[in-house]
Amino acid sequence: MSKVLIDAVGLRKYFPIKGGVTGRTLGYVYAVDDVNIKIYKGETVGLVGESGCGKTTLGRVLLDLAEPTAGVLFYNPEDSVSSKVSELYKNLKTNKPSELKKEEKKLVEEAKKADVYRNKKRNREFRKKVQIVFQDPVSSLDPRMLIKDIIAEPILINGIPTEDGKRKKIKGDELLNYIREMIGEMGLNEDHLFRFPHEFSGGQRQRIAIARAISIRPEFLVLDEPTSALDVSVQAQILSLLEHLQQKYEMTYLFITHNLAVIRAVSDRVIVMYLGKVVEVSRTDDLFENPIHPYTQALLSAIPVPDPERKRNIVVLSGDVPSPANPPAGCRFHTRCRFAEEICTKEEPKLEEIKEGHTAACHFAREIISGQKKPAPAPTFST
Amino acid sequence: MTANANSASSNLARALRTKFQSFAKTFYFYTRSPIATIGLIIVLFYVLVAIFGPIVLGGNPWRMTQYLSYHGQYIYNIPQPPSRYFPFGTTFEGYDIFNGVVKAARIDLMVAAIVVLSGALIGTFLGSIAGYKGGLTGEVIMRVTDIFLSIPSLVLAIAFLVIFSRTLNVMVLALIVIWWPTYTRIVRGQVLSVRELKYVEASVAAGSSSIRTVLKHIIPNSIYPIFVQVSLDFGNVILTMAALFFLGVGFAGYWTPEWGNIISIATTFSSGIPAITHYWWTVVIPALAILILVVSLNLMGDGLRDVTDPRLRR
Amino acid sequence: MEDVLVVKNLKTQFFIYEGVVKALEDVSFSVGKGEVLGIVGETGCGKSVTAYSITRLIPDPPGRIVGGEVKLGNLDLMRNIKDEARFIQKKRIKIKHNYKVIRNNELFFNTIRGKYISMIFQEPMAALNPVYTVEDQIAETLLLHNRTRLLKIMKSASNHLSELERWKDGGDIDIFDDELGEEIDKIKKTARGAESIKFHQDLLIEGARGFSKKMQKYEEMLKKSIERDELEDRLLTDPNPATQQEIIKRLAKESKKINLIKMSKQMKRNKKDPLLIEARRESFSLLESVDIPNPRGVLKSYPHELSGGMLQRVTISIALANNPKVLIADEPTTALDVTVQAQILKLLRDLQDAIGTSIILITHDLGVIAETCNRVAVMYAGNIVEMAEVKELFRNPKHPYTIGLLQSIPRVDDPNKTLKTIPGNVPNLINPPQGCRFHPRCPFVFDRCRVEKPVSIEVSKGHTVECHLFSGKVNAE
Repeated sequence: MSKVLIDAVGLRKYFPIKGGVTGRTLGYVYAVDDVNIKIYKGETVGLVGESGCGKTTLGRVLLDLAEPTAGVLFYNPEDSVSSKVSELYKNLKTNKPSELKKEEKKLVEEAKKADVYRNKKRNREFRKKVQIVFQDPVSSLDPRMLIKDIIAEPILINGIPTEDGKRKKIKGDELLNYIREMIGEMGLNEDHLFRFPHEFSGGQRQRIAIARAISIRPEFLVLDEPTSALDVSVQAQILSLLEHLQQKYEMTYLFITHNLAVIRAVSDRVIVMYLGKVVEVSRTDDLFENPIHPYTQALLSAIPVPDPERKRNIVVLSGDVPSPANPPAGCRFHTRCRFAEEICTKEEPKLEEIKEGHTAACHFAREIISGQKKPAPAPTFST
Repeated sequence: MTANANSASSNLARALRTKFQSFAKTFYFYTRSPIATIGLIIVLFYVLVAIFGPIVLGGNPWRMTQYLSYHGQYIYNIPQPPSRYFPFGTTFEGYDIFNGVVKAARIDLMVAAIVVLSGALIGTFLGSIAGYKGGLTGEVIMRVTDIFLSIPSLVLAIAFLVIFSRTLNVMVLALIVIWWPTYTRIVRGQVLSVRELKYVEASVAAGSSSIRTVLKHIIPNSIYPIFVQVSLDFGNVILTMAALFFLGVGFAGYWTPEWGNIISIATTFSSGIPAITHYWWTVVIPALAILILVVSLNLMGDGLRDVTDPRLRR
Repeated sequence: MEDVLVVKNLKTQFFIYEGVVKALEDVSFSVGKGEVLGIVGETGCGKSVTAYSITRLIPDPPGRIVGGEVKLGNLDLMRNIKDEARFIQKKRIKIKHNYKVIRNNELFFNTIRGKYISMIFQEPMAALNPVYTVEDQIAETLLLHNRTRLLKIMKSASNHLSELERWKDGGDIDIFDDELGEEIDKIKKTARGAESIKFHQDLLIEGARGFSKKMQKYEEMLKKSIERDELEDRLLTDPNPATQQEIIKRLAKESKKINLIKMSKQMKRNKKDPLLIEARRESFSLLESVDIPNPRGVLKSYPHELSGGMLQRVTISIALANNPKVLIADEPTTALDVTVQAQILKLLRDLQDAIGTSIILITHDLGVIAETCNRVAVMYAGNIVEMAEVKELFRNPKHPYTIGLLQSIPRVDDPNKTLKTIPGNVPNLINPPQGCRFHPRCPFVFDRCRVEKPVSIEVSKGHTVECHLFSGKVNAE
């Protein structure tokens, strides 16, 4: 297996809910709650979930665009961190620093040096290696800037990588030629450089946003619903463009979306989130053919298939997603789950490896795949 | 793609052309509203008068006090009705209203411009800090702003003029002190909404520093409401200034050509309301000068607001 | 199949700074009784404009319906569209509105919208008024369009007050053969639990008491309302345009007389008003019919207190409150999550089976189309390029655009499918391409496409295509 590019340990992001005259904190929105993920070099990871499940927040926390409430983020950990360190960090929440042993303290120091959040120098380097593309092509481009200025911005700040591994800043005509070359690759032409964003269609704006993101040749690109606001025919164009760019520039993608069909088309591995928790991680084909977690099963069955002659059973989940400000105790899915039993309301399931390369957080994961456990009479129906 | 398309000057020209086109579009929408266009024309007329009026006219409005008769007429002290020689008539003490009104345009517009622009500048600076940084800094700035907003503006200005000295500089300063908090509020509100937009986040993701983000993205995108407010406040400053003169706390003597002052000459020297109603032009004409300008500025401001708000563009 | 709504050559344009956007170009289709017609297409293809044109909700300025016919029964909804405005050709086209005609049309359309044609929108949060409770908003549409039914039930209930009271005390109730009987049948079928039945019983009895107290007043009201209903029904059935014109005039005159705000204020003050009580009971029963858990709580809540899926259920219940002939659903599930989308689509299908309203379902998601619709119209750049039965369209697409669209969808069930793309972008509709509007992106383009606009050709029964590729074949045959 290839090298780990990003190792996030125990990430949490709670948004405080302020209220009252004095603005005290009434509670928290548990947007991302204890997420541990690894992203490997060169792969495309799909991050999927419904609205409000925290997938966008996780993407932002991974890029240090939002400060996490807790957790560490190692970038290129194999170069700088031993696996012991991240193991330690995973369990750190149960240990108080004062109770740490000497050698553990050393490891903690080591981790701090490697952690993107805590080490400023590392953070600056990190900025040059990661980029993001947003969902909404309307608000992601500054309406008062020309396209050339929009694309030039990251280059002016970060420079472009040269062959000897350093970065150099470019200006003036050199910069314009560079942008021109890149925009050609995006399927736009040079005429477009001297226009304002509002003159473009959604697909073209998304191309511009991608051009801006990859202009500094990042290693890791977070794609936050890049095609959700686009039409299917344009979506296909953008997806194939992204695939081409990934091969050319050897980038790693985190593809955040609610559209499972897109995930299946683009990603190598899939992370499924529900209410701030990762519920299932698996290789793509395995997930689509043998989903383990009841939520994933329901999610997969609910997607409308563009084939009127195909009959399928839809598992209709009752109710709505609970509020992330007040998540249910125990397993967060138990309020809508067909398999829920008493243990689910009390104890939170851990993310366990059920099969090779396929982990899920469910108390009855093994029983469900072996077919031992039958669902409660649920409102399934067929088309 | 031709070779000379690459040259720097043609690129600049293209960028400028695009920007001009977008301005032309905005201007088209502005002229769609006849009322706003009329407002703009009148304001431009006032600006021209302010620039060229004193050059063309020459002389002093109060030079009349030096002569007992002029063009064969006895003029001292008694207001003369509008005539060939005094198009707007004269007011008490033989003050030539036409000359005064024209010269007042320069002083009034200049003071208004200085006050409003410095207010906007201070407001943009403080407002963007308060909005973007937030936290304790923002809180302190906003509370100070609130304190200034809570003091009646006229009282504050009078206090300034009385405590320091009744000069032009102090008055400008007093008016700036009155005006900056409004702008701080507006800019902060705008910045709070703009900073949540995705392009700001994209800029942060690209490693842009806070100062750069604010200057490049946030201020250019939150400044439009300021333009509107500036055009509306222009009139308000002139009104406040007139009010200060009328209350007798203007700067530097009776003879300053200022619209409010010309009115106050009439009210101070006349023997009550019957005299003013008899010599109506002494009050009505300078008042009209203020009224027309303020109304036109308001019309212009409304027009500006309509074109800068894309929802109202049809 | 009887056609409920026939749209012929509908043409809508937007007059903006950059020029005239030809948003709809001769759109024609029909909706059969009890049918679900899907309209699918990409952003800017005019599918929403079609919906808004039919209901006359196009904002003006800048939009205007320039021509065409929309027939609901025998009535052409666009009958005097040309009188509404004149176009003056200058450097830019100027529009001179005739506000008198527009105002009258607006009054007349108020009787159509919500009663005969109703709509569901993409954003349920934006479709509901945040300052009124759900109950107020459902009751509003009932009070506006369905007073006859409410009063009839109340009248019948007041006649059978003693039986109702016996029912409440635990006894059984005989089925009456008028409105009340049907209603009680419905209550027994849909009500969930004893508490729900009790709610119905209480309100029925309370309303009946109110009715019998001021019998004369409400009888009068009922008579008037029946008259108005008859007028409206005649409007749709009468084939003579002159009579239609006359009826519209009468309706408009009456509409002016009804001051809704005053009416509702009066009723609010009089809490015992049977009309209001019955509207509340009906709202409750509507919420039950759209599977809302805890309908009593939802009635009293404000829109921001409910989730997106719940709100969409509420808007559906409002849209279906008066059993409209046509329901236009404009991207009803786009803003919702897939699991909720599945719930809502199931609900729409169930309700359609139950009440038989025709539905026009507008969406960009071919998956939703495949699962919900009977017939599909594919739109591109303001034209309907292909129309067919849903199975036929997916099995045997003809138009190059439809083919491209079907090939560009990623599929969950088919991992090995490679995504094909349609090259290029949706054209600018201010200067649309000459001839066939799809020709710049079409892989099969030939000379004729560039100059001549294709007409609709029936390639097989019920399957029409606007494409020159097929006109040749048909001619040869």
